[in-house]
Amino acid sequence: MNLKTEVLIIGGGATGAGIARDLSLRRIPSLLIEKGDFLSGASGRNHGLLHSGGRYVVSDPEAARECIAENRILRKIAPHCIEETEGLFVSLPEDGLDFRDRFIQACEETTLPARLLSRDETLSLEPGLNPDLLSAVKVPDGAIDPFELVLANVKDAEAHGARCLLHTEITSLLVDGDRVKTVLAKDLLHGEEYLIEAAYIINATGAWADQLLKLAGLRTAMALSKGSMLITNQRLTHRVVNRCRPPSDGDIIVPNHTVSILGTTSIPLEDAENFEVTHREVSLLIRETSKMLPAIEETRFIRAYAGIRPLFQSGEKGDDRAISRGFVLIDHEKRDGIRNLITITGGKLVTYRLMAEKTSDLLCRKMGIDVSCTTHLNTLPGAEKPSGLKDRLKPLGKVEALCDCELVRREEVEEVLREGKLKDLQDILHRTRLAKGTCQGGFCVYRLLGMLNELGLTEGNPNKILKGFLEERWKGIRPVLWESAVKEEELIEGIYKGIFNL
Amino acid sequence: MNKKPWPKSNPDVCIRCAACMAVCPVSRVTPLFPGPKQAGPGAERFRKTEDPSVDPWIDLCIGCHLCDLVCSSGVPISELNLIARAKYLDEKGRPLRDWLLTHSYLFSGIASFFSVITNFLLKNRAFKWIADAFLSIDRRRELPPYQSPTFRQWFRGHHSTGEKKIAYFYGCYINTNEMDVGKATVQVLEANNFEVILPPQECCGLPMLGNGNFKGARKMGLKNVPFLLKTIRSGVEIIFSSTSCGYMIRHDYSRLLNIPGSEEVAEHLFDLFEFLRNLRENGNLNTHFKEFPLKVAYFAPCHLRSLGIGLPALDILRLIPSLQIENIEADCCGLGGTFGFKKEKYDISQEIGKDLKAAINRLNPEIVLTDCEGCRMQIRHLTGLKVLHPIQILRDAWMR
Ligand SMILES: Cc1cc2nc3c(=O)[nH]c(=O)nc-3n(C[C@H](O)[C@H](O)[C@H](O)COP(=O)(O)OP(=O)(O)OC[C@H]3O[C@@H](n4cnc5c(N)ncnc54)[C@H](O)[C@@H]3O)c2cc1C
Ligand code: SF4
Ligand code: SF4
Repeated sequence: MNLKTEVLIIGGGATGAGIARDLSLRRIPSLLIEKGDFLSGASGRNHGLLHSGGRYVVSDPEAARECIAENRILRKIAPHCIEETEGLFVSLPEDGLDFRDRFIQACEETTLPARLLSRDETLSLEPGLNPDLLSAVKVPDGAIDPFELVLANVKDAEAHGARCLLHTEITSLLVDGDRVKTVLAKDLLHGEEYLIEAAYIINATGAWADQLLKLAGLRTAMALSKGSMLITNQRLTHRVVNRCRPPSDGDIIVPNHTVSILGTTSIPLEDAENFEVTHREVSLLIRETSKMLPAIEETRFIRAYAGIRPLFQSGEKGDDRAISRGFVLIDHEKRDGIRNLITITGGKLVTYRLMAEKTSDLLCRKMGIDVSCTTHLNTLPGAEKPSGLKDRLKPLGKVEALCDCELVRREEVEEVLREGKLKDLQDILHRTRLAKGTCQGGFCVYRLLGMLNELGLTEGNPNKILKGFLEERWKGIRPVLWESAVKEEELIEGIYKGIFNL
Repeated sequence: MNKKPWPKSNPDVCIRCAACMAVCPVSRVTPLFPGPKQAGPGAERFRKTEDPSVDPWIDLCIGCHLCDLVCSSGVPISELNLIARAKYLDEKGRPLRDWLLTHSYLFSGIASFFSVITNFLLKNRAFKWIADAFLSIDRRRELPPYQSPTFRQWFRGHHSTGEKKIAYFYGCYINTNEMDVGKATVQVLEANNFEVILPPQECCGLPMLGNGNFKGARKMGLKNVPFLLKTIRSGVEIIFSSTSCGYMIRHDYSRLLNIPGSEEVAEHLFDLFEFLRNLRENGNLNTHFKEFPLKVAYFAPCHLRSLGIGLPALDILRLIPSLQIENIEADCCGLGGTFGFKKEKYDISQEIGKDLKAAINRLNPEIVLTDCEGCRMQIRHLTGLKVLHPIQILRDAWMR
């Protein structure tokens, strides 16, 4: 099949979705192609911290400035994706106060609002923190739900004429002279092939940016780094908690709905597809984060997961974290003489909108048109009805819950299904909180399959789908399996093996 | 990995097995209550101390502890519910009705003194209408009549003698509403050569705790424990005849209310029949029972089951020759202390009781026996049968 579009966006993470929205608001037609579901890459596998910039304020004030500016914008345009929790940078006795003082000064210089709190003030805000802490600095960190954020961007983009094609991989970029002439893509679920003609192509494939460029015979010097995180069964603090020291492993605790997420690590990696969380990382995360919050030592974890960061060499070798976190925008016309190709990668979730704005500005210049960005002025769909934990607890007792850990209602899932276009189980899980709670889908996914079957929505072999889901689930659970979680796994295994014969 | 074990009381240990869902009497009869798994460890993940409660359904947990009994992982489900309920009610404010229902110990003395008038009022339809309309106390409930003299007054004129001493925690209801149970207890203990003493005592506080009033309940506990400690430290053990008061003092005083000294008290506090069973095991129980041809059915109250001592009343009553006694196979009577008196909960309470009523009808006994005053009220209400404390039958088997 042949497809035609003005602009082809490759990659359905925050950056790709942000660009689709930005262009659609500028009335530039686009087609977004993503090889998995939205958020299959780093956008769905990160820490969910709405950075205030504090983390970078000492090492990279420029990045910090971007963060605080975008942080403010996101609070306005996407309040429903954000928990305005505040964040604390906690100094422990072993950290001393030198870094804290530099930190406060750097905040002043970058106009990042920061307030020093005494030990007692800190403990009255978060009584679970290590009572030996020296002080804390309060900054406007928050928690952000990447799923809601990206899907809201997609929704807005589609409402303004953008098109999206999921589960479709770009397989070749055919260069003819100074242009990418044709693009080939393949539907990974049904095997259909597409030939795409696009006037402009934007490579927003994050950690896969280099791999994609190779299809066109191009390169960019980037390294990959794995970051791992652990999810606790219950939310442990109300606020984001950071360690007040030069960025290192295991120094951030981010609350997220019902859970807390501990992270991260930073491990150089070759392959962007196959990676797991190791036991060494689990131990390290628990050891480091429990210094800030001792309860972590005796808390239950429900999952471990990892994401890949693309990093760009800036000389300093050996320490991944010293490589710039700022994003990279490449006009391949200037660099390689290919006129219709742009690469945007790196950056952060918090800066996705800025990255999309800069990319779209560059595209407009190349197209010779003059329309300015409005993504910072218009709120995203859903902003009018921000919902919280309370809203899920409240109707309990009146409605049927499909997932009883995260209290996902059957109607909620039906609504997602009605919106359509979902192709596999993972797509449904991305759009609801199913499988995000204590049992990690152990009990609700077979209920979901039953419901899909009732609605005549299952396609393919349900046993295979279930098996695929269980394998993925097991990967996330295995690293954090001990104590009564083992009992629960035995029970779940019993159900699947004994009752479903898997 | 260097991990510490999880604390037992943490909802983290719930393995989502749903065993508790199978026993909850409330979620069995109404979809309005999501059941122990959800209401306890499940909802705990959604509650934040700094946020106001949003789960009014939590007020429907009857507090029967049956869920705790079956949980394989030791999740203190009913405790989580009670704490959440207390928070909900603290924020919402409690109606005057709840105050009256939980503070009856304050006016029961006067009510007993004027028992003729009070009882006339309690049965009076107009009075019940007023209680229903203004206090939301369901008019379909019989309000328990008051007695005069009270058990304590009777005891004052009674001269107890025996070789050894035993102290008796009788509880408010026995004192003012069912003094014969107290009398029977004293008579049975005396028949076993015990001199009964009554340590100073106040309401145990369970009605308040059951209504989520931790502060009020703690106040009662703080008054009672020093009296009880003094008794046991003088070498005298204590028995109770009301399983609810007993559970409260033995379990909730230390676990939920943190009352200093309560653990020591718990070690020397026994259920009346548990105590008699111990006597029998040591060969010290007076078993000179007379023939007692009667068909009775016994119901084990939730609080007795939670004490984890088996069914000692059944063990002892089975010693009475020609007494035909059957155990009633049903869970929870549905009254839940003051729960079933409340207008908004009356129907749920009755619905829960249906199973029990059917089980009793199948056995067709002349008299029903149970250790808890709440269960006795509810079974009378459900079946119209005569309902006694097992100690009354035991006494009769000696004295006839
Ligand atoms: C461990 C970790 C923690 C992080 N924590 C935070 C945080 O707390 N706060 C924050 O703001 N940021 C954080 N980030 C950064 C943030 O997640 C990323 O910067 C952001 O998600 C990048 O989005 P993206 O759209 O550029 O890339 P991605 O989300 O990776 O999207 C790229 C997409 O391209 C698709 N793709 C690749 N190749 C092809 C192809 N050939 N055809 C079609 N599609 C293709 C992929 O499937 C993928 O979905 C973190 C990152 C990591 C790794
Ligand atoms: S205490 Fe009784 S009513 Fe309450 S949740 Fe447990 S089983 Fe149900
Ligand atoms: S019985 Fe215990 S472990 Fe099982 S679901 Fe209920 S609370 Fe959880």
